[in-house]
Amino acid sequence: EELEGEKRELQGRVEELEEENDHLKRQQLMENEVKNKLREETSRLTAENMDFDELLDQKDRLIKKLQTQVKTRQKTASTLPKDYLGMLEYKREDEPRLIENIILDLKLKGVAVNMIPTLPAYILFMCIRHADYLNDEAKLKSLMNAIIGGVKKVIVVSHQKDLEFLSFWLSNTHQLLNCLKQYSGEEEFLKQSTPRQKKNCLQNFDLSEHRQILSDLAIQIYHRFISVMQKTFTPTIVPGMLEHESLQGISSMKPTGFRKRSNSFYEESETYTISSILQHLTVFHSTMNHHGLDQGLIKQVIKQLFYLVAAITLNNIMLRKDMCSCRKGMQIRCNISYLEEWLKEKELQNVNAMDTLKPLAQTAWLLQVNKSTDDDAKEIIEKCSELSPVQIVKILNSYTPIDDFEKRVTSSFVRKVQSLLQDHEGSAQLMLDADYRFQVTFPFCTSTQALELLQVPNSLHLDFLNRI
Amino acid sequence: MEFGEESSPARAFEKDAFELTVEDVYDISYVIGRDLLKISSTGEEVSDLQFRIVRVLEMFETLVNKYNLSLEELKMERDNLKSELDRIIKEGSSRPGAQTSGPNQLVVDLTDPNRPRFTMQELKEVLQERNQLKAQLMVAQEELQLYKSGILPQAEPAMVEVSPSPPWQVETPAATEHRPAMINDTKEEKTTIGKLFSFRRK
Repeated sequence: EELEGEKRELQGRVEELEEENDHLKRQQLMENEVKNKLREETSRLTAENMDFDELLDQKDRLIKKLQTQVKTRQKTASTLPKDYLGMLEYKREDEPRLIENIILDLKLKGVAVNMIPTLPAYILFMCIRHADYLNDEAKLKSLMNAIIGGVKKVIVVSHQKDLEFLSFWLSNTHQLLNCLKQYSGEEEFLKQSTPRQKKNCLQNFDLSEHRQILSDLAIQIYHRFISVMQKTFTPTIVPGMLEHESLQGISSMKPTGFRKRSNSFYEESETYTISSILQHLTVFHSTMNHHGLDQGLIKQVIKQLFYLVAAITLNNIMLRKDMCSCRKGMQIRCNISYLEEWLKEKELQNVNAMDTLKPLAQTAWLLQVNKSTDDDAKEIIEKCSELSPVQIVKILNSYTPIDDFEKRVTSSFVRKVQSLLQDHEGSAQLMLDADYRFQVTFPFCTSTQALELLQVPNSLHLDFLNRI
Repeated sequence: MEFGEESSPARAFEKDAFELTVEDVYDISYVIGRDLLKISSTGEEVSDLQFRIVRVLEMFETLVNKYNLSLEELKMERDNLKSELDRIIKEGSSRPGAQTSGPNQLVVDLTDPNRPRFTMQELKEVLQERNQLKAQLMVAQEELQLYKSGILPQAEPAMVEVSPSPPWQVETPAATEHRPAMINDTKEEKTTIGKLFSFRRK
């Protein structure tokens, strides 16, 4: 029985152990399972990781590729000129500064205005364009009025007697006028514009009213300009054209004019000669050229000045018997030829300037020619088409022979001429109106300047303008 | 051109760089501007060039201005210094017998009665001697007073003679103490030396 007992005990123990074994086996199985699962998981994660790595590499490469692309695109973009629109932007509160720096305080002694004399006009127009582009009526109106007011102030107040300033602003006002016309969109002004220029026309506003005001201002400047020139020019005319006797030594008196920048003129010991006249004309001409004045306008100025010469000289002859001699006739003829030569030299031959001298030329001829026979009388009537009957008679009556050998003009001759002139109409006036001014026209000229290429030089102190 | 229209502005190109004025820069600008117009003026290339030239000429204008201004300032300074120097030279030569002297020198007019004649050393010695003699005088006067007032009963007052003597022989009080015998001697001998060297001491 003990043995049985022990045997049962042992059996029991064996069973226990077998159970434990099983339990352990099961545990081991579970653990193996878990291990396997973990292993699986690890290898899955590793594989995923590798995939991600590869993806990362790919992305990296893509980024690099895109970066180089951007760089090359940027480079090509900067070598191409930034496409400017040809406008200048400014803040409304900067308008007074703009007017001050580009108009009121603008000095003619500067690099920018010497190189590009009409630059102020273009700059102002580019500001106008931008205000129009913004569709800002108030800004545009204010600007236009400020410009007109500013130029007026310079002309009427600050520099009303300064030839250089008058010439400069005449040129710039004319240029601004031309810009307003060229970019107005009106057909007649578009004919010679480039396609780009046509694109740049004003889009929102019609500035023809302001154009009219500006045009009136331009005319005002023109007349002031003529007046200032007239003032310094007039004293030289009678002495130079009539009084100074240069014919005593023709070759030595060849005019030697020279151009001077300032308004002080060379005076030969207070005696004006034909050279003085030519010098004045030369200075006026080069001043106008210096400021880029339109050639058409220059020609009108010269014509006006030549008229002045003719009128003043003629009036003087009418009043002075001592000027009505054959010798004087020769002198006048000689001086007229110098004037003609001057025109040729300045390439102004096609100006109507010589026409304005015709009365004077005919007077000179009349003084020199024979005045005795009937044929003479007929010739006189024919030739002196620009002189009125009153003037012709006056000259004949005033004619003074230089010496005793020369015959006076007989009163019968004068009567003969008078009778021939009876049917001729002519003014009853003896004198020409020296203050007469030909009407000035401002020719339209298409500018070839591309606005989008214009830059604003530093020395103009306009850094508050933004180039659009 | 006979009437020399171009000569004035074009002359600026021929000037020496350091003689340019700012007006010349403007003339240069004008001529270059005109020349640029002759090139076909619509091109982008010309426009960029034109404005680069404007920039360069603006810098040039600034430099020429600055240069001329500095030149003017230096000239003025030089002229000021020159006139000051001339003035100083003039003043110097107006004094009689004078020559341009160094920094630590004195110019003496030999005809001036108040001109300095003695050296510092000589002056020191003389003053020292005077002080000593003054002291001797005071002592002697004191003694005289004492005798006069009868305090010192002496039939024969000791001859006290004080005479200018070379400084190195002046008796100091310490020295006289060593000669009590001298006092007795004076009573009897009254040698000149004794007279000279007797000082009564209390």
